[in-house]
Amino acid sequence: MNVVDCSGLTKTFGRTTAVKNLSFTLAPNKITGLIGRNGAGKTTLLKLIAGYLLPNAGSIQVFSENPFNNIKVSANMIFVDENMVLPASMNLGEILESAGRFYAHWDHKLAVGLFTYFNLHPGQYHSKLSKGMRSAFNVILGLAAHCPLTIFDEPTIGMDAAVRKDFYRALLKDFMQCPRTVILSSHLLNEINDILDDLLLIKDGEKCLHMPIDELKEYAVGLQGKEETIAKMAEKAEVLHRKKLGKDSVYIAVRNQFAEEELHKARLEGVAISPVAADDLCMYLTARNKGGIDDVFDRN
Amino acid sequence: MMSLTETSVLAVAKTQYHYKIKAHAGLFFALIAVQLLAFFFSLNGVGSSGGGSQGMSYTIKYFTGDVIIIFTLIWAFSIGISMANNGFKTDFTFVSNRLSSHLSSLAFLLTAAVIAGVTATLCGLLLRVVMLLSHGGVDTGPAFWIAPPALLSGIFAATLYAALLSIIGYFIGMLTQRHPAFVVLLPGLFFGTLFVEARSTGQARTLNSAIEFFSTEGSHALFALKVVLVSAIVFGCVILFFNRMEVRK
Repeated sequence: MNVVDCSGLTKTFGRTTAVKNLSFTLAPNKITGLIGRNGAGKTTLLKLIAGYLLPNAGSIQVFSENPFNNIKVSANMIFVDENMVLPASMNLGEILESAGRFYAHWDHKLAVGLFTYFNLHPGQYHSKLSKGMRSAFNVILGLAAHCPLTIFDEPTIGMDAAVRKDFYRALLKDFMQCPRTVILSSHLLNEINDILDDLLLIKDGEKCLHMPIDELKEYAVGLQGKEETIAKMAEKAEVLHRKKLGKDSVYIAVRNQFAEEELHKARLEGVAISPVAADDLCMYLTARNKGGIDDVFDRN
Repeated sequence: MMSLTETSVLAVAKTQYHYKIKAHAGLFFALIAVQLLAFFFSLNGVGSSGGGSQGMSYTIKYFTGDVIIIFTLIWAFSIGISMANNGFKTDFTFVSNRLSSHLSSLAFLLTAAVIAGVTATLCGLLLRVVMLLSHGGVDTGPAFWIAPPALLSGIFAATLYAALLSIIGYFIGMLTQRHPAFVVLLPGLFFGTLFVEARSTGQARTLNSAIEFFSTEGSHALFALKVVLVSAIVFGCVILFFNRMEVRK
């Protein structure tokens, strides 16, 4: 059984289409990274999955049910983002206590452990926390709820590098003890690369790529060398990115559809072959202009 | 995969109810403040008349607990609005659907109405006692003493009024959640009709007849039935109209 099953999902707000004809499925017990540029429709997609929003077209199924206004989906799902509305009159200790009553698999020991580790105090108030601390608290709710579907929408906003690292590690450790379906949206793919099983890349509300992260590492290859050699190779492959490095040296990232001997031959011709990091690849795939920011400055 | 939790709307609503009571405890402090304020206003009396003959003069001062009731009802209306504004957003942080959110809000409002009804009536009693003590405590007249059944029926009526107003407030709050234009539209409509009617006929007929519909009812049972029916209709509208409303847009 798939945990999430979307087909032809579309959501518009007024004139803008946030999610466009999106179809994909998420298998259980995997950590999926939802990656996309600002405004790509990540949050809208996650809110559709959470049942907060109604799609304009297409269908969405979570645990084989329509998530909108669905108490069963809600009971098995938690949605963590920076806008979690928590009562201003309750302190953090009371909120943890209350949150625990909502979730059947709530792990209070874990919640308290993380709570102390992240230097939070039960007497503090959510609205008075710093941005990073608030994110840390929200993340604790998300982890301790142990929901079969756990959604983190940019959970690390405001956290410093050390706390982010701790969070990723906590997520992974808890996931191994208690496997469940996790969707993690983030800009910082290079940070979450190691904990992801799958990656779902969206661009302008449409699916760009959905594959296991291991395959993604083989998806593209970077070639650097003399302009004419590279140009010849570029004819045979789908160029994702091109960058001029010097007078006649060029770097291109292409889809890796070369045979082993072709690459070997290229190497002999002085082409440097390198893997393309996942976050670079995602940036290339979702780039709006092939040249990137340099084009703005190269107007002459 | 982890086993899915099966739950019912009522079980969730119950958890939400406890959560709401904790989260909105502050509203009850507001109630105390409002009633104290009304109490001090009432100490002055609402009117007086007097006269005299043959070297004697008298003054009659009227005291009433109505201000306390009115203030309490305004409080009830406002917590209805605030439940609609905050409740929905807060509920969807954790487990919720629209029905469970409404039901837990309703339970909270009814609890609040009972507390408001009891405290408002007792506050009125306190006013009587203070009046008695401050005026020497003599010749209080038969109307001073309230028999327990009358006291109970006072609590009963105040509670029902508070419940009705808070549910109406909840409905209005949900409307403004649906579209912000209602924030301007509804008060405009209310005061607009009030003024137009007052200018053309000299009295606010619609409002008066709405109030009379409840206040002139002699029988307790019929009065209760009227309040329950109107509340149920308003609350039914809430459930029907806002069942497709999106949250956390």
